Amino acid sequence: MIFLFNILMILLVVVRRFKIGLGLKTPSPDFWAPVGQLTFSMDAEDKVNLLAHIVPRFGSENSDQNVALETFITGLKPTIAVVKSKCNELSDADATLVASELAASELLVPGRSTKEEFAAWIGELTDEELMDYAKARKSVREEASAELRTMKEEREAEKKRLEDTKKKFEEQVEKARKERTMVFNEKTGKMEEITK
Amino acid sequence: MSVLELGAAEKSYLPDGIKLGRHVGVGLNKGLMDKNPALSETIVADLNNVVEEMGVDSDELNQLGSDTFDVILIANTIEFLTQPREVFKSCWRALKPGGIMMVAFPEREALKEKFGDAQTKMWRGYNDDQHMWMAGSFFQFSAGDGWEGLKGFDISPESAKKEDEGLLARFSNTGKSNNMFVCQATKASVSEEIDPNDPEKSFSSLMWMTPTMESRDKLLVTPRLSRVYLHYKDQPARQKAIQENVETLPSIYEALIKMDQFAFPFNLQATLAADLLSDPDFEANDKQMEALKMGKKSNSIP
Repeated sequence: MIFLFNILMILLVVVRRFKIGLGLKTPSPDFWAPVGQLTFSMDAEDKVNLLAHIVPRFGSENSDQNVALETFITGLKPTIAVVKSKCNELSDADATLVASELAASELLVPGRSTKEEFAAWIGELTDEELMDYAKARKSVREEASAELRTMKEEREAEKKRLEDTKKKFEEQVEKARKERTMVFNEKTGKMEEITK
Repeated sequence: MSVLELGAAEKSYLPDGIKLGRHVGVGLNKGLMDKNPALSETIVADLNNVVEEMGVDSDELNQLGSDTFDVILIANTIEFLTQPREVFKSCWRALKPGGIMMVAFPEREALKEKFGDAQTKMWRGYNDDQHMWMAGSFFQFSAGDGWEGLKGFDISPESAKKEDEGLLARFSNTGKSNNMFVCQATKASVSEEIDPNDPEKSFSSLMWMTPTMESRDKLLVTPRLSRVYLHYKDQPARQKAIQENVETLPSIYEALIKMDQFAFPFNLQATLAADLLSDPDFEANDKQMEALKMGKKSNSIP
């Protein structure tokens, strides 16, 4: 019985360490849990972009930075609500994207906007201005996709050019081998005529 | 000229009359190395005692420093290395940029009788041609493009019996089984500064020895970093942050590789890594890494 109990305890410890090792930490209920819930509808790429903005703000020795993180998380939900109410035609994902990026750019970095300043600014933005922002934001991805397509085409063209050059070179070498009349004799160190 | 010889013993097989400024031998047997007149210094180290991703686990060897030697020789030793990739990593670090590493090994049967048991199982199972490919792959998989001019040579005497001669020819050839082969490469230079005309190449060189990341990850991150770098062409502080933050990539990937690869594909991981590096506040400190893990878990990313 004691043996089984010991085995069970060891297994529990192993599972716990395994979870820690995997980095599967429970999201902190005061920050990451609401971020996850509020941005659930966003595209994966946009979530990655937001995460890249948030993560570097942690671990700062500047106390204002911690305040900024708190301001961001308390301001995110109302910002999303304001954007959604002003822009009915935006999808849930796009409205969340606009709201989260505006909040991230203004609230996450200390010294840019206070919660009150940001709330006043968001309140004054017209639906047209918000739609323009959404349009501009979406065009970034479209431009990036176009850029990527161009880069791939250029790389393919360069690859083909190199392959063609190599093929041409190999054909020249083959032709020279077939048509040559002289050959270097390593033993004598001289060029000699090929006798056919 | 300074030479580091791994697997050193009582003889270095160098041509007579060569004067070397420094010739450090690294081997298992100090008694044998002391008999070798070519060696100016000796270090006793087990080349099979390694630290993954770091190289040979020897303080004395590591204290020789980086970019120290003009030439590294490994003769009649590669067949006994159980973790050659790590040994080659140590060699790459110790070699000066432009320095050459030469790995010489005899034909399969040469040392079989005397040291067959010590040869690795993989080495014993392959023929000489395959050994050449293996030696080349050890270079490739230790530092990738950090090695240049990878070449293989058959330096066997003309009279040597060839393994691929065919049965009849081998019986009729009375020559000795003393074929010898060399695989060599030179160390490429790491970019000190990012070349604005070819940042991709510069970033790639900074990642040659980056642990944790797979070659696939390096291939995905490099163009993204270059793009971000060029995007901030008017912000030198951002560009500097990107260059300095390359060393944080192992920490990022340490966290990322434990995530669900299907839900969080490699290209998105590379995008996230490149974006994090471009932030001057990012230094991969404990809180940031914890935030990264929790951000993933909270569905902030898929």
